[in-house]
Amino acid sequence: MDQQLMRVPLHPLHLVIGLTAWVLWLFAIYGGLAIACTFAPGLAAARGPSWINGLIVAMALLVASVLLWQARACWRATSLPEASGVTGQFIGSVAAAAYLASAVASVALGLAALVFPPCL
Amino acid sequence: MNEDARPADARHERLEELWGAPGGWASLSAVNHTTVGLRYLVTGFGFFLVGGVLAMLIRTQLALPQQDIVNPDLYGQIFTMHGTVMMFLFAIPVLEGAAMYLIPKMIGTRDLVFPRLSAFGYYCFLFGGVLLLSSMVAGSAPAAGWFMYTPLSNATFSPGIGSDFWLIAITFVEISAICAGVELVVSILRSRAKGMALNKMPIFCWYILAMALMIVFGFPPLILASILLELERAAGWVFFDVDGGGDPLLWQHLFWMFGHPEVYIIFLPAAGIVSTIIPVFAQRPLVGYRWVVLAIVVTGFISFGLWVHHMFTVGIPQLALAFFSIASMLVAIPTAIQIFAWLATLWCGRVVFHLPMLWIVGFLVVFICGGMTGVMLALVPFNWQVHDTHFVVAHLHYVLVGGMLFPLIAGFYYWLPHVSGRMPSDKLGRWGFWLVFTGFNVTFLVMHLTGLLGMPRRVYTYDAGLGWEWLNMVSSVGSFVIAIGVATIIIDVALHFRFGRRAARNPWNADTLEWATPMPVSAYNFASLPPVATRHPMWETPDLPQSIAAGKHGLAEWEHGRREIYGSDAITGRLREVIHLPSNSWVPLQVAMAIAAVCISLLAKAYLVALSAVIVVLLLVFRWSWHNGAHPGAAPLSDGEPVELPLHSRTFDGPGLWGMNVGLMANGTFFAALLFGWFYLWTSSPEAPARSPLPLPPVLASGVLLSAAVLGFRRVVLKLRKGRDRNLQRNLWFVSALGFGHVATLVWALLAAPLVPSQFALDAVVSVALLYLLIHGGLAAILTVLQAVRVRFGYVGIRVPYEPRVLRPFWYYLLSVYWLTFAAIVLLPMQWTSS
Repeated sequence: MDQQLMRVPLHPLHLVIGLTAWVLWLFAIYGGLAIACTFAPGLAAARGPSWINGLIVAMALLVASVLLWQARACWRATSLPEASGVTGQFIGSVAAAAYLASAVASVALGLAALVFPPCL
Repeated sequence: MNEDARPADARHERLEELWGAPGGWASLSAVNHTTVGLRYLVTGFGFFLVGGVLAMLIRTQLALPQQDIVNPDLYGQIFTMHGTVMMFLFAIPVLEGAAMYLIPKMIGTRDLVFPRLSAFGYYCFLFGGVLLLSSMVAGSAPAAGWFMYTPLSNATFSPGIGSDFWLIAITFVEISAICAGVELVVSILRSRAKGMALNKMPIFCWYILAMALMIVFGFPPLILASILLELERAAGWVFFDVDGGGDPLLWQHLFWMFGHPEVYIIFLPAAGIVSTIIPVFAQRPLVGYRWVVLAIVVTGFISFGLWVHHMFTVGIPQLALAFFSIASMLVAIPTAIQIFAWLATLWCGRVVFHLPMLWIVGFLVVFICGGMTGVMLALVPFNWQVHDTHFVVAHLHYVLVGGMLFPLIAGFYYWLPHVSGRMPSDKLGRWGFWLVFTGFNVTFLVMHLTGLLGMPRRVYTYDAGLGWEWLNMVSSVGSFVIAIGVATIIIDVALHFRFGRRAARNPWNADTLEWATPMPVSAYNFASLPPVATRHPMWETPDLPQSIAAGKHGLAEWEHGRREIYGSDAITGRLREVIHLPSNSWVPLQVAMAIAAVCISLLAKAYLVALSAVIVVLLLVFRWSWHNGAHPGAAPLSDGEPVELPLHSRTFDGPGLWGMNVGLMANGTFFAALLFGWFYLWTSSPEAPARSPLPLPPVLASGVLLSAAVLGFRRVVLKLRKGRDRNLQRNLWFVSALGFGHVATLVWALLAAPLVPSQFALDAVVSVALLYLLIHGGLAAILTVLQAVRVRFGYVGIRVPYEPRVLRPFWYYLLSVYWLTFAAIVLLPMQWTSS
């Protein structure tokens, strides 16, 4: 059963992959911003959104897109024969919701970049 | 006693003899989870009383303005110790103890998978706690707050050994938490009852699984931070001092990377108690089991993305503040999902208001209020206004007392009959609840106002005429009402052991398996291990206790004299092997005592004694590992081994492998925190180093030797998997020789490097990284030597190939961190130089 689950998005690891991606995304934008503000010329004095804000928003949309695609894959997998056991359906549906939550949370973080200057 | 649920006397006696704790002093060698879990609980409540007395002292001092009952220095020690004791010695250990006691019973097994680790963890907790409290007796308790911010806690501003007590004792206690985390993760995933798939697990197990994993990832940053600060204080190495390129904010980051998940490490198991109790007293299944599982997982992760909201006032850019403000608000969503699931369950059920439910209702009221002020504090402008005021003190008590203490007492009353076989007094219990509930709200509700009126935290007194007098007086009166309530509960519990009426079997008509065990509690839990095909076994199979006691299920035989449980598939609950567990042992106590000797020696700055004690620790740990697998004291090879399922030490998979992997996750988090420190100091002082401090040839040579060792070890394991053990011992000796070569060249690199850790922060971090690699390299080589010797004794071979497989991830881990370190501290500085 567990070998079968590995081949489709019904493995329990999918319960945590999306949220792990969210945590890494948060670390990346927080750390990346600190490095950019230290080393990128002119960025530290910017009083409004700059190129890095655009980059953060674009990356947020990209991360969210991948997570949404995974959510869809998990949800669709619940109707596969491999998910005929209740465990598969359970994992598939909860993992889909976890990916969805991760996508929403990733976009939510990115939205802040529409408003604030990067380094002030 | 429930005769129908108690196995026949002979079977019961034999099982008790096999699984139970010995009497008298020998009981200190007990390792079974029931004994260890109860010890955690009793010890934790003892520390709670100490913390409570300290709280009374604080409130007495603040009851009136301009009081000098305690002086400022002593007041600093008191509030520091109150926070430290409550967080590190009460909240976390008690919940770990509850989990240790309950989890095996709930998942239908007889013990946790690493019993000696449980006992070792308990002794680390006990000795660490006693060591910390001894600082109060000595009059030199830490006084820099429970968060130990630098520079206040450094050697300049906190001379004496108060802060050293904190750093060393708390690290000691944290060993205990990591042990519990590893233990619980592996036990839940690998030793559930036959057929108990993930979606059939009691909801409490999901909460504990999340808590345990959060401990594994949450505690290492603080362990690292404590080691760094102690190195700064004792050896003068620079990490947090700006003069050498350090940064005090690095401490805050590392502390809160632990500190904020810790809030949820405390809350989640308590919420697990709520999710367990509410369906029982509503007499219907929990509404939205899947939603609650989702909420648990999401809460666990988001809690790791909130740590900066404790640092909103330190000067972080607005955009970065916004990230953490948003994340702080997001975490309210999964919490709200759980609250709605609880309310829906109550709404759909027929609620019986026994005593535990009273505490649950109290929890709902208090915790929701605390959650609301939490959302307020997530808003940056409001946070700036009330930062470091009594508003924050009130908020954190609403969250922690409401979110942890109320459910804990609910659970305490709920499972008390399980432990003692008797019912507590309903009347005294209700008095206790109303006194605590009223006293708590009187104390802390008005404290919000005290904070809004501007009273700062941690001041030992205040002037009259500021409008804070009556508020403080009300809070102090309320705190004494809480104390009377706690005393009432203690009296109730003490009396119930003598006067409480006998509990009926499953007195609350609960649905989970722990109520299928004999009452009062036995050491072995189940005379036979039942299959589980439902989430509510006691509701759907009410006669389960009888069939278990009659030995009608698995592993009912005891004649072999081994402590045996089932090992099952992590997802489906399909049976995979029989896990044989170690019996009672003195080694956990001995190791913990030796570590205590290390700690005391470090405090006394007797470094040679400390080094000797470290060697004793290592020898004892190796002795511990010796009594495993096919050792005559464990499960020696014989012709009469189980046929249907193999013993785990005869396989390539088992709890030890899972324990190694989970342990390496904690270790990896420690390493990641160290790398974070390296990069953080680089960005905070970018002008500091423009060179690679390490000589390239020995570092590269060391890496090549390590890579060869790992390849060699991998080949050994692959050959064993193919059933070939020709030259096994010789190959293991060869791998260990390569490992020692790796260590020797790394020592060469360390000695050849012009590192000045007492002057430059980045040099100090490099030194710590090299020491980390040396310790791991040495350990890998020595453990491989032990494997070679065990081959000679016949404890490792084709029939028992397990241990090399367990050791292999350690070598892989070492290889990964070595080359990552190489990239970060050798290649990256070379890039700086060239650019």
